[in-house]
Amino acid sequence: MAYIGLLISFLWMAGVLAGAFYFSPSAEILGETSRIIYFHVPVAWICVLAFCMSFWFSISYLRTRRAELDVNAEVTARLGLWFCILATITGAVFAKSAWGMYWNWDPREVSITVILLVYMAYFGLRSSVPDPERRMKLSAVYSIMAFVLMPFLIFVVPWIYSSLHPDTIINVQGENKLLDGRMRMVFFFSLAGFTFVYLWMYRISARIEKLVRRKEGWNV
Amino acid sequence: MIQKRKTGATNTLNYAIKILAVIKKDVQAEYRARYAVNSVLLFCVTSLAVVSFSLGGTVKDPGIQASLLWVILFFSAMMGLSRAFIKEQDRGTMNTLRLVCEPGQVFIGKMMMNFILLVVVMLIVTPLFIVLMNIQNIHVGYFASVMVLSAAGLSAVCTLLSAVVAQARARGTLFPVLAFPVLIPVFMVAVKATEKAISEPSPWANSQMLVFLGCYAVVSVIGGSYLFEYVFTE
Repeated sequence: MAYIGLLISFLWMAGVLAGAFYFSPSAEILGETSRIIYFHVPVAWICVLAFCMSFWFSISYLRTRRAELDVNAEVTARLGLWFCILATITGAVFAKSAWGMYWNWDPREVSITVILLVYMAYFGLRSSVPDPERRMKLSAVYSIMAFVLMPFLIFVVPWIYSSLHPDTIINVQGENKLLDGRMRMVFFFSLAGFTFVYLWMYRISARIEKLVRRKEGWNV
Repeated sequence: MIQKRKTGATNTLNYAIKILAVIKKDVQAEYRARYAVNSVLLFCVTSLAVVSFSLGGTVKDPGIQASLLWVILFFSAMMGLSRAFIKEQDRGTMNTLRLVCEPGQVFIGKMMMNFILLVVVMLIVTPLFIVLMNIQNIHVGYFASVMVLSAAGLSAVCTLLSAVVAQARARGTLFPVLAFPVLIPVFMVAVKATEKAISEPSPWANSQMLVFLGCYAVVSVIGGSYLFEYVFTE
């Protein structure tokens, strides 16, 4: 069963790759660089999704104190960290080709960097608490606090920095000017495909992590 | 045996008395040893001296002046506010606190103590900064509101995180790492609002920044006091 799912998502992602480079046209103003939308945006979406999932698992851990929920929170945060790094790098590559420099102090760049810092602080905290029960508890608390105060960041960043990010140019008053039908199709296929891949990676890493902890004598 | 039913008013009163007791204990300890005040103030004044000597009055841009002030205040806060629970943990008095008070009382007491500490630091650093940086037209009311509201948000977050790092190793380095990403919204808005206060003739036009700082403070106090229970109880 798992193999069928794996096969489907493999084929799906192959289709996304083909669609991104052959099927979809390039955008009007941005040209060929616009194809990064099929990779950069889904990766950034996974980064936010992982952040939300980590928050949810942390809340459930504090309520029930079941160690496997802490495993889930840690694994999803670790994947989120990697996707966050990928989103930052792909964003910087796009920024170089579209705006002429890798770092532009765009609101999106600032927000994703703060999420990156939160993830790094989370793992810094985890690695410096030796006692496992305390580690689970404290990292859950930090994850929740960071998530609760995150809306302020999303609210405040556009005040401070002005944006050149394409979606503020594309979504002029809610209507999509640049994404035509084929582009939109490939984009949503890619979004779904990346979500599958993320969930698959999440399941595997959670299983591995649980086996490791069982070996250490934890009941997970 | 007839038990007197406690009314809501006496409950609230007892709660407030416990909070005041926590603050009083910390103020007394601070008065005797002057540990936090001394180290934080010396740090503040030193970093202020470093900044102003290295610039030597060349910086006239209010944006840069505001950012420098907040860099100094941020690191001073990182030094001073992390000690709230670390010192209890080091002296082994954490369990006494657990026995005597409820978590909410400890949190609010410690937070108020941190708030007082931060305001004292601000009262000393900002006049010096204004004099040394030669800032002329400053809007005192707006400036003071920015300082007080930011201090409230900072002290709530730092009190919770102080309790977190008190149970970890490498606390001194871990604390700013944990605090900075969470405090970035306050930090950015405080810098902008301070810039307005020292450059614009009528900064009250930007009162939405004060509302923002106030909302942040309220959310962080509520979130902090709720989460603190999990950190504090073993």
